[in-house]
Amino acid sequence: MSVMYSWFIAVLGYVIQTKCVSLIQSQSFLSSIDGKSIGITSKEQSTGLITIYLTSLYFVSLLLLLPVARFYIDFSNRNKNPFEEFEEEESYELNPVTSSRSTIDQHDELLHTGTIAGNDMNNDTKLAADILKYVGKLVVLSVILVIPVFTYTLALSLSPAFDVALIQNTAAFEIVTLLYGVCGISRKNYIFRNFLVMMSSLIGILIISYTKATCDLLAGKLSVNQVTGEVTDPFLFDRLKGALICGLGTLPVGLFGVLWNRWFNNNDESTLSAKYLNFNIFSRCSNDTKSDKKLLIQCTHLSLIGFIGTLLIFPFTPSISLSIKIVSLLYAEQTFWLTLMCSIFIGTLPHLFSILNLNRKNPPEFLTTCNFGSIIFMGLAEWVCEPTQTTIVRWEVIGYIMLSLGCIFLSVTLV
Amino acid sequence: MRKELQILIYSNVLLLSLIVFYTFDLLTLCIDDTSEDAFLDSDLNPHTISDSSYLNTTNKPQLIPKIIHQTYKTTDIPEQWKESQKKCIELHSDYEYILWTDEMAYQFIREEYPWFLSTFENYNFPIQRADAIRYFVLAHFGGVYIDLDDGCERKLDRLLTVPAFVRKTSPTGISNDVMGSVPRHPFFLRLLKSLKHYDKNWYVPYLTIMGSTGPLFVSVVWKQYKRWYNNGNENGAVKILQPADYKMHKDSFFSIAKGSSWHLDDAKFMKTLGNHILSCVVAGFIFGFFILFAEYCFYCWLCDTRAVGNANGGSTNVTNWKLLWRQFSNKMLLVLDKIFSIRKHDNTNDTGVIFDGNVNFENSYGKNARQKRSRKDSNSPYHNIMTDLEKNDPQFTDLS
Repeated sequence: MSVMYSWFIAVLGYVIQTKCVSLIQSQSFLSSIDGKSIGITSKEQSTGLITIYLTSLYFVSLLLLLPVARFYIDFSNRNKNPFEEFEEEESYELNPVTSSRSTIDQHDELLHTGTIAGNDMNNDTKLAADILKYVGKLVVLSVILVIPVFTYTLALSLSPAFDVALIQNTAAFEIVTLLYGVCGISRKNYIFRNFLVMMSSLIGILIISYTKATCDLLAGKLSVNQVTGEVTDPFLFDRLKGALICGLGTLPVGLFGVLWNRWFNNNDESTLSAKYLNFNIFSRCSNDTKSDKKLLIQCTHLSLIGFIGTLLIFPFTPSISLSIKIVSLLYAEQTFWLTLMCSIFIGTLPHLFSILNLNRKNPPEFLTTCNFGSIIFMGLAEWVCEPTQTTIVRWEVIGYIMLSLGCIFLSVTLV
Repeated sequence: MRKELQILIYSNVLLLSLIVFYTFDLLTLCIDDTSEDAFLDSDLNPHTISDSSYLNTTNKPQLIPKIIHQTYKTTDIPEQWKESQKKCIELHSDYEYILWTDEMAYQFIREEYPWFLSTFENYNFPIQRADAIRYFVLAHFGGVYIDLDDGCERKLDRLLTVPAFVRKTSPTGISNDVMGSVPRHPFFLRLLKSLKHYDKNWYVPYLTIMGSTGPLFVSVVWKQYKRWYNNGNENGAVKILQPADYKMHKDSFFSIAKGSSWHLDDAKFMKTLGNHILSCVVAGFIFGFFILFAEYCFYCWLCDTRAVGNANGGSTNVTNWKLLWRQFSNKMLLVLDKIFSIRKHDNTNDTGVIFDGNVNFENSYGKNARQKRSRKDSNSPYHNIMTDLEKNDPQFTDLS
C-alpha cells in the first residue's frame, strides 16, 4: 500500500470513527431508551455506561487487526510479481526506522532447528523471562492506551465531534512531536525550520477554533442573550470540560508512541517473544516478505493490547446487568447497529491498519501529519454532512490554508 | 544524561513546582465537591417529604439572625433594582433590614475594625469596598446578605437553620452575592483575615476584583477553610445552596435582575472568551508546546555547538562555554549581516569574514564542519584538518 493511500485511509478512517462514535454518544440514541423501566436514575449514568461500552468495543476491534492483516497480505501477495517483492524487501532494509538486523530470519532458523524449544534449562528460564517481559510491556502499553481512548469517547459525549477531533489531534501532534524529539526517535534535521512550520500550522488551528464559534453563531447554532450579552449555550461548560478532558487525556499517546517504537518497531527482543506466542501464525509465513511478517507481528502486539485493554476496562463497568440491558435496548435500534459497524469496519480498523503501515514504512514522526490531516478532513466532513448549517468565514479559510500548507510541507520533509 | 538536558529538566520541574505551589488553591477548585455540603431537598422543601421527616425538619432551630443586609453607595437605589429590594423587604416583614451605604460602611470599619481601614480606603475599585463590607457585617452582626439585583421569591427561613451558607456558582466555586451566617462564624472570620493578604493588583481590573474581594477570593478561602481549618466541626460548617435552589426553578429562593454593574470592558472581553471556549483550550496547548519545543530547539543547538566544540579540542567546561558564546555571537552577526548588509568589505577574505569584533569565522568550525558533513557520519562533527593547515590554524601543527 503506497504512503499516499495509507495516509488518506488513516485520516478518513479517523473521521468516520469520530463521527460515528459522536452520533452514538449523542442523545438521539439515549433518548430512545426508556431509562426508568430498566433502572437508570440519571442521564449521566447511561452516558457513562455507553462510554465504557464504546471504549471496550474499541479495544475489542483491535483483535480484528490480525485477521485483517492476514487477509491483506494474502490478497496483496496474490497480485504481486516476484520482482516487486524483491524491491519491497530492499526498501525494507533501507528503512531507517526498522532494524537493520534480519532478526526474523535468525529466529526462523532457531525455530526450525529446535534450539528454542530445546530441553536446556537455561533456555527455558530465558524463555519464561522473555515472555514475562513481553507481557509486561503489553500491559504497560495497554494501561497507557486505555486513558486516551476512554477520554476520547467521554469527550464525544460532552462536546461536538469537530471540537473533540480538533483538540485531540492538536494535543497528539504536540506531545508526539515533542517526545519523539526528546527521546531521540525522530531525526534532528532542520528542527528550527520545522518548528516554524509547525507553529504556523498550529496558529492556523487556533484561527479555525476561534472562528468556529463565530461560524456557529452565524449559522444559528448558538444565540446571544440580548440582556446579558452572553452566548446562550447551556453546554458551554460541558464543552470546556470535554476539551480539557480530551486534550489532557490524549497526552499519554506520546508515551505510547515512544514505547511502541522502542519496543515493537525497532527492537529484536520483542519479535522473539511475539514469535513464541504466535507460533501457528508464523508457521504460515514462510512465503511472506519480511515486511509482511513484521506487519503480522505488530498486529499481534496490538491485538494482545486490545485483549488486555478490554480486561482492564472490565472492572470499571458500573453494573454488568444494567449495561447488558442498556446495550440490548440500543441494539434494538437498527441505526445504532449501522453506526457501530461503520465505526469499527470503515473507521477504527482501516485507521489503525494504515497507521501501522505508515509507522512501519516511514520515519515515526511522519505520522504527526495525519493529525493535521484529520483536522482538515473533519472540517470538510462537517461541511459535507451539514451543508445547510455550515457558515464559512474568511478567517476560517485562511486558517485551513495555513494548516494545509504546513501539513503538505511536513509531509514532504518528514517522509 | 547530558548536562544541558539535566539543566533543562531541572529548570522545568522547578518552574512547574512553583506554578503548582502558587496556584494550588485554584487547581483544587477544578475538583467540585459542593454536593457533600449541599442543602438537602428535605431541608429546603419539607412539603415534598413524608410526615415523620417533615416534623424533624420543621422543628430545626433557626441559628442565623433574621437580618437582611444589602449595600449600595447611597440610599438612592437605581430603578432596575427597586423592585427586587421591595420584594425582599415585603416578604420578610419580620426581619430587620439594613441598607449599607458607603458612608455607613466607612464609619463601621473605622469604629469596629480600624486595623482594616487603610486597606479599605486604598481599594482601587468601589466594588471591592462593597464586597469587603458584606463579609464584615456578616461576621459582626450575622444575618443574610443579598445583592440588590437578587429578588426574593420565597421566605429565607429554611436557610437560617444552618450556621452559615453560600451559593454555588458556575462553573466552579462559590459566589458572594447571597450569603448568610451566625455572628463570628469561623469561615467569615477567615475571610476577614485573608482580605489583606489577597489585596493584590493583577493589572486587569476584572481579575483584581475577582481575586482580591470577589467570588474567586471567597472560593479560594472556602477551599482553604475546608482543607485546613474546619475538621468536621458542625458549628463551623458552611452549607451550599445549589443552582436549582438559587434561581429559575419552582422552589428557588431568588430571581435575578440585570446586575454586574461593576463590569468594565475587560470583563466583557472575559465573557467573549467564554464564547470561544475551544480556542482558549487550544491556545493553552499551543502555548505549552511553543515553550517546550523552543527549549528542545535550544537544547539541540547547545548539543550541536558542544559537539563542534569538542571536535575543536575544547575539553573543559570553561572552554566550552566560551566557545558557545563565540558561536552564538558569530551566528548573530551572520544574521545581522544578512539582514542589514553591514559586511565590512575591507576585512574580508575569500573563505571567511572578519568583523569588527575580531571574530574569526575560520576558527569557529561550526560553519565549515556543517557544510562538509557527509550523510553517513552526520552524527559526528567533521573536521577537515587539511583546511586548517592550509590556513595556518594555531591549534594544529603542520608535521609535513
